[in-house]
Amino acid sequence: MFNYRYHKEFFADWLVSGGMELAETKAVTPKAKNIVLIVLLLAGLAVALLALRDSSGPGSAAEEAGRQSAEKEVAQPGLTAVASADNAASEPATSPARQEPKRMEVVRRFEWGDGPGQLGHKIPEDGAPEGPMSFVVDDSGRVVVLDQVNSRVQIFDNDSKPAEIGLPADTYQDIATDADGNPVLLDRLARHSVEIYSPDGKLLQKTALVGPGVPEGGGVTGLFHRPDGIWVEVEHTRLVRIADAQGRPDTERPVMPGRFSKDGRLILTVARSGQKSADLMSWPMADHGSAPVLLARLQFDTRLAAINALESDTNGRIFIGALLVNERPGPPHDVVSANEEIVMLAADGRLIDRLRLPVNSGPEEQFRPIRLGQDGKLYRLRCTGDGAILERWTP
Amino acid sequence: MKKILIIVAGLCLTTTAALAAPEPMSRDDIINLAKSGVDYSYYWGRGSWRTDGTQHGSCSGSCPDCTHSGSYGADCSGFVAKVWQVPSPSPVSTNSHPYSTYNFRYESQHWSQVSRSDAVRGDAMVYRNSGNTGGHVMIYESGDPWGQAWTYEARGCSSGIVHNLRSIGSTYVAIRRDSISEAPAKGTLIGSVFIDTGGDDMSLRIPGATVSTAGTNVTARDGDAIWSFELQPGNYTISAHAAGFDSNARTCSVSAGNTSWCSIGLREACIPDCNGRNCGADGCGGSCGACAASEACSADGLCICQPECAGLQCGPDPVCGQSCGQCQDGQECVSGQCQETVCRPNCTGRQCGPDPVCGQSCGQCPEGQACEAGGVCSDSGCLPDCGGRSCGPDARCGLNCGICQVDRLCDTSGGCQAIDSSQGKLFGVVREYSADANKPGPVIPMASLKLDNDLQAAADENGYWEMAIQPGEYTVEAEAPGFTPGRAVCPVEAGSFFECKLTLKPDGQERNIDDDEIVVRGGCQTTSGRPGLLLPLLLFLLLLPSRRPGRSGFY
Repeated sequence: MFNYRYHKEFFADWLVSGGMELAETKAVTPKAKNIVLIVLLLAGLAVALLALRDSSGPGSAAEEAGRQSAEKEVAQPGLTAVASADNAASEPATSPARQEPKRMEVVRRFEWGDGPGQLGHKIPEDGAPEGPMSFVVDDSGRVVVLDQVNSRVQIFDNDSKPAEIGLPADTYQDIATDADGNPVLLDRLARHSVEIYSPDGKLLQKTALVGPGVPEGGGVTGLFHRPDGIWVEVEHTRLVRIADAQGRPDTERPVMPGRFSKDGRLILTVARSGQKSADLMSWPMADHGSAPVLLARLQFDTRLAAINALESDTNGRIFIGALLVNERPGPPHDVVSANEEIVMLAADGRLIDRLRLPVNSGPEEQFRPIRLGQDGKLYRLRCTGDGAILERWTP
Repeated sequence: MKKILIIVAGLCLTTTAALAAPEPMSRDDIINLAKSGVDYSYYWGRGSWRTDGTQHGSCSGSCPDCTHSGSYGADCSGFVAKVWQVPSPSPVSTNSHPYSTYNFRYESQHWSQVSRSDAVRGDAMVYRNSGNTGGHVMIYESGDPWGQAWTYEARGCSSGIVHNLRSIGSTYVAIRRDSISEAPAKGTLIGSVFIDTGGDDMSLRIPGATVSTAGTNVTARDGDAIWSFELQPGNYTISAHAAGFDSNARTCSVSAGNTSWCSIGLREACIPDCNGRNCGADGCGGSCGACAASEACSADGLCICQPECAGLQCGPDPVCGQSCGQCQDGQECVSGQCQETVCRPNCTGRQCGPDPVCGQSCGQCPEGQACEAGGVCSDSGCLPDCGGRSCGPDARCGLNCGICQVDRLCDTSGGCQAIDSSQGKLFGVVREYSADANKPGPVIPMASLKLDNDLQAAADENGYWEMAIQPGEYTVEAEAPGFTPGRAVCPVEAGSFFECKLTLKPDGQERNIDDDEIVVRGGCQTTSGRPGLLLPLLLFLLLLPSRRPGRSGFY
């Protein structure tokens, strides 16, 4: 539907994703490598020229931030080790700073569009730009993408043609799957509901979002389907069970603080605690009425603009996604560089690893672009100028 | 071409608008205007809505080639311009669309760019892409713990104008309206409502509790029961209440630009316990009731009558009828005072013995009667105690325990012994004189006996008597009240016995010489049993002078 291509963004994306992929797979000849290096040099020149543009004009530093960080990721991947956690005493002897550069491997590329296997994004003239809001990697290894711009869910299983489940609206923002693999969808702004659809697009259940514990749909920040029911997260601070596992409304609507850990032992919550720090706190699952315990204080070398992910795996490891930005100190105060940093912690808060990644090169809003798959790997669905890239990190 | 026209139009408008600064607005004004637009439809190229929340309109399709119904709605830049009231004040219901996202991003007609980290309530976030084909602008309200933003925005045709918490990509910059009339900087008062268990534990929270100050109420949020107020600097009394808990209040200070904590603990409500109680404390600081003036409340919560014993030593008090005390023995209670008792014998139904009240005598029994228990005189009143005795008087009543065989004597311990060979035995029964020699007169009990005017003995209740005596002949005289004394001469031989019959006439009957003869005729009986010799023996005795016998036993 919307498939805008900007040559600059395309070029930058090629640098990041294509270059990365080549480096990862090494499925190229020496001659091809030389070509790539030449192209990289040219790209560097082009980016430098772009950076010199006056900040008062369109396409200035703010838009370049993503590309610059992407280039840094290629040129200086060792940056991932700059930040450190407070509990450095328990940090592994082999510091991430001395490890080999870490990258996410590209799992799949999606072109922008509305055809099979394509994903929709929209950059309206006067409205909120959107990319695919959320996705899930389920038990079967299927990648279930909320392609809400195209009013559908696409299910990618290996390399076959994706299955498609049509939706009645383009306003869904989060997705989970139930025990049968059916998509469970959150529409917090227009339909104010959580809905379950069958593989053939039939609405199976629909539960109102607003009610006790959820004063307004706009405050919902996550959707979780568990064997004990459907929970929604409100303001990144608490969970409300709004339905049972089959989607039938829960009249009691119990409330829990934080977010469930995957291993079922903790309830987690994270919050910015300073310009460059965040606190990870937890409750024992069995004692969530008590005061939370500070599990770790994360320190970053760049201003922490926002946290955008809190995931955990069955081994108790915790993953925190952070958007780090550098702004021009004077007007126009635009972002001159931005990165995504993934911090991996042990269940006791010990820092295990960090991974710094480029951010979206475009303005697309995403609701939950970083998810832990059922396979224990961390996935990110990143928007670029000419499409989306599903990346994976095997921690 | 359309984009160019929009930009040109925007430039024209902004050129005109730049001539005057916008009217001052407070941040509250901005947010209140933004709130009033929520739920109105997205309306491409427009900016108006109603403050009464009606006629939202609707949008369908993909803008700019979208379809709109209704008169009200706004796109993102129309919404922000109206909320900011730029370039000049205008009713929200009056459509205007003076600026595009390009204007907001790259110009500064009535606003300026600020650092994203400095963005505060009422500022805006804007982006415009380098191709000038897309842009978005929204009103920033606040950040959440993750650093994401609560915003008011006209998102698009499908969603309309919304209030939502969302991420802000790095392509956005922050802008601030000019002429913000900064209210005095406020501070944040934040806290939780927890169950006050008396210690330092604040972990048990009370979500849903109502927290109030300065006429404003908020509800402690779900989960951690956190609440907050944005307040001008000063001291505030914060009160909290929740069902099932006692309300509580505390005073906390707010300073400009700072966040102050003011958590409040509530104690679980006390349930008054007046079950079975009608007075005293109810366990929660209240009362189960009051007692009457004459009553006092017991520890069990019962009203107890208080005795009025002032001036009283004994007897019932005049208020409750309870005892004011007991008098000592020998005293009695008269009008509440103990007085010495004047004993009044109670001899009702009694003839003899002590009365049961005072112990005074109720009378003497006649001679021969005993006073039995119950104060009744009875002939057989005294029960003989003949334990171990077969003859002689019993130890208790002096009555006869039996008579030994004629050839034996009763010793002092009540046993029958053979007659000592050096002594003899005199015995007999004192009777009333009977004119019929074959019909003896009745026995005379307790008669006194004298032998030769010296030796004395007494008959028993049956008139019987006996004595051991030296052999010889004795004049035996018997006396009994109401009878004329009588005599008889009785001999006794050693180792033998002799029955000495004595008969007495009642007083008043003339006694003649024959009486003695009669007595003598009373006869004696020896162990040899030779009656043919009795008469000559008696004659012999009468002719001989009396001899003093030696006494060896007597009873």
